Amino acid sequence: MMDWLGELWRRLLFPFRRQQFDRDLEEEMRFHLDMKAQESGAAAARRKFGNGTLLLEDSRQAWGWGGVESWAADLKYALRVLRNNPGFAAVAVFTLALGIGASTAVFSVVNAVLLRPLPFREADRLMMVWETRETRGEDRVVVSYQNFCDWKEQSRSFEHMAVFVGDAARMMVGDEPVLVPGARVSGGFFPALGVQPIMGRTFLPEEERTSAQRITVLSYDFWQRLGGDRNLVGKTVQLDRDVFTVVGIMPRGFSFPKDSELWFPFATDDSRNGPGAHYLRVVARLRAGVTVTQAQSEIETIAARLKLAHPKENEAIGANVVPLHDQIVGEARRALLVLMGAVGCVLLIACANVANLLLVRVTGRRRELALRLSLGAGRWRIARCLLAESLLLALAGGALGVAAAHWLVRAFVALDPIHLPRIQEVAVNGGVLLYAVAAAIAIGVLFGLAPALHASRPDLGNWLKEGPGAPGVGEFGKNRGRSLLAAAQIALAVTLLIGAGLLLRSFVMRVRVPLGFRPEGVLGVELPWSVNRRIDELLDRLRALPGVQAAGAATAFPQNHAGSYCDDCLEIEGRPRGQGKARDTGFMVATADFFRAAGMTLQRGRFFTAADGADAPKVAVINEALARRDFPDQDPIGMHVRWGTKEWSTVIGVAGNVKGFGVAGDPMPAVYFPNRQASWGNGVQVLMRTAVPPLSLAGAARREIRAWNKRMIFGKLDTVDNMLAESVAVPRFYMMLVAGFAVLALVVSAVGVYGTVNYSVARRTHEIGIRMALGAERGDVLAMILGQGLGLMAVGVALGLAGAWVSTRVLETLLFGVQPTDAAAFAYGSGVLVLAVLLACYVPARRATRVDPLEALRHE
Amino acid sequence: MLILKTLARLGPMHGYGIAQHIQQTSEAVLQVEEGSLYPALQRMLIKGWVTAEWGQSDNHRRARYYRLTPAGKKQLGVELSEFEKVMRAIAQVIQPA
Repeated sequence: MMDWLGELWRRLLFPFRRQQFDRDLEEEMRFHLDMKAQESGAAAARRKFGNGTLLLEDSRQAWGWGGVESWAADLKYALRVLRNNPGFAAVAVFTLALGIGASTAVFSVVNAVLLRPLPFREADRLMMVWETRETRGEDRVVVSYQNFCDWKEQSRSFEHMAVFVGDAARMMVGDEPVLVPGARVSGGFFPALGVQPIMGRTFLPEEERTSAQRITVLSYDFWQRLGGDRNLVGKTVQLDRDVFTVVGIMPRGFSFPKDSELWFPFATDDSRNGPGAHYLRVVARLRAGVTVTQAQSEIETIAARLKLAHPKENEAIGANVVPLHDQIVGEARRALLVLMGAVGCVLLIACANVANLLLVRVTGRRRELALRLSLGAGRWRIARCLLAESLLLALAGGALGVAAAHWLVRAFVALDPIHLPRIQEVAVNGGVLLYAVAAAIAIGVLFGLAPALHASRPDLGNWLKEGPGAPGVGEFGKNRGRSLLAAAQIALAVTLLIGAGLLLRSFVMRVRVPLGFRPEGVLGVELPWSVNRRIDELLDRLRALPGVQAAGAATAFPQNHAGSYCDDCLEIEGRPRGQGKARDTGFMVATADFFRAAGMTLQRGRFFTAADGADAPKVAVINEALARRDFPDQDPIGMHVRWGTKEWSTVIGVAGNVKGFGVAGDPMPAVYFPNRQASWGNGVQVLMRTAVPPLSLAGAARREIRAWNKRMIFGKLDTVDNMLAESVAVPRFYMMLVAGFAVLALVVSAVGVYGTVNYSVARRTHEIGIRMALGAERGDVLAMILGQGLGLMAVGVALGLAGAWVSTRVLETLLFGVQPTDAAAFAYGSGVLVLAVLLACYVPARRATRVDPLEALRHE
Repeated sequence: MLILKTLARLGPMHGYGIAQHIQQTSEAVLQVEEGSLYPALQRMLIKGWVTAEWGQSDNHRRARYYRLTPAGKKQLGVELSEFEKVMRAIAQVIQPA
């Protein structure tokens, strides 16, 4: 043990005694030689002693620093070489920075969103538990309080199980009311998530009643916004009209469910907790050692038992355990993986390009290398020199790339164009840096290997003989490595282009679906459902604004996902009620002027008018999809329908189908009731059709709403055009990003092909000169050079098409109205590439035809 | 082993002296590149089997003297017994039956 330590110590000291060591050894050897020379003459002494320099080197090597020293020398040399070729170095570093930067940026998003555990203690044990609807194939349905209680009581898999439901409090900030998002949570909520308040406490069981005193727990951020009073616990805060006592403050960064600032106790005796009221979410923590599968099978058993125990309430209701991470990350996963794949392609193409550049350079440096080899340099040493060079390039590119990624990610987080979950956690951090460095080193070694291998199988004789313009060496056939790289680049670029083409076509399909209404010149704003019947007052005010042609309102227009639907609610007189997905019918409430404001079409009958009041005969308008489903062979006008009421409404009109915001399916059958004969279920979407630019009326409309209701919180006032654009923002973002990567890939690989062909032309100037001197026409030369490029391209495109055929399947769920094997996308993708490659080949080929035979031959 | 043995027999000695001694005592059978002595000495310095310091040679020149350390002595013992074991084995194999 001591020996070993002593040895290490002596070795470590060595670099500091380096000069002393060299002097000592040299003197010692000189002494030896001198003594020997006295004995048997200088020449014999030297013969007997051996190669002094080599021995000196060996002695030094013994101390174990040889490797490091020669690496340092290699790096120094590489640095010098690169400094002498600033153009080459700049192109290589820039290409790599592009690839590494883009992939680092995407990876930092993937890392934060997909890979890092959620910011909870032992987050892998956190689950969401949902009800399922077996007959409808739905697996994440909100839960009734009754079922939650039964699950909690009967299951053994969970340490904690709690319900929560979103809630919000209104606060006046100056004159402007703002909504503070929060949640009502039951007892096990905080223990399940494994968080404790930094101050105060959470809720007590006796506080989970409607009659209990009003209390709340604050988020760290909200506490800070309230002034960060360290003695706030125990004091009261005014929220809207109510006063709450603050009992605790949560640690910084805790905000679950998303964006929560406040938590209130969930009242277990709430009258809304009836057995048919499915509105709760359930979060649970698995017991240590219990797997998701075990928990799932247990909860299924319990659900089956409950089905028997409560046949009426729990008919066809099952239960489903979903890891919280999957729940939160869910939909983003596939899209992010696609982006990662796309950016990986870009990175590979960039690498192939740089590898090609290096290969070209190493061919140019063959004379130098051959000289070094014949002077006694080891092959490994030469290979190492080249590796050092490529590593240096990769690391420089990596550094630049990371810097670029840092800014990209900052901008991405600030803009949050696609509302990613966990976006605030995205940053270029340690793990990401590790990725970038690992990628850079791997890349450096990978693309350094090609030239290094080339140089380690030297053909010394020929290389030494090579002149600067030696004939023949530029031919593709003789340089399989380079051609392979160029073909691989083309293949990757084709794959990416096809992917981008698919997303582009899918996007076009999505926006091309007929809307069923005219969004131009319409201003919209969403109001809470509580407006009820007073909406007519507001609409009168808005209609009175100069420039407003029509003002109307409807529930969640056009029927977006907030609109409610139901499979057995609609009754048609004289028919039994149906069930199942095919019977799903949307429920809409609309004011008289709404259809005109929205610019919807009328197929037959009439829309509502001001006359359809509370005391007038009950009426309804159905959409075309409903008419086609339920009245295929008869006139629906005059038929009687109802939706959970006693009285029947007479169908007075059939409206054209309306495409929903963001909803990309077939239009759902829907029925509209006039607002004075039904109550708003959800939010209320107010629309104003204007004769002037809609946004110019935004200020006036806001003032009218405020004058009508001072305290009401309403959504953004915006044009319907903008809302529609917002609804396709996510697919558009993916499309743009993948298209961006594809264009990048196209440019980089075209430059790669250009470089390869160009180099070949440069090397073959002499040969071309001879050919032309012997009578070859320009066309022949052009064909010859182009032919080489086209052969390359054919291989690349074929590989790329095959690759795309296999890999575009992962896009399937991201596509709308387009098959992943869409022929047009495949044709466009490869077509664009073929054009780019043709151009990249044509430019150097043209130059080849302008070779002056005399000039070329004199060149030798 | 030869170097260690030489140092054990002669006491502190410089490189030239060690080379001379090995050649003389082996009656010039063991002919090595004399220079290869020095890398070997470096390895022993690292292992801590010998130490080196500058001193005066017989003809009043500065020379570097190597001295066996206790660890070096132990190593010599180990190597000698290893060597003897091998020699014995070889001897038994080549002995006429």
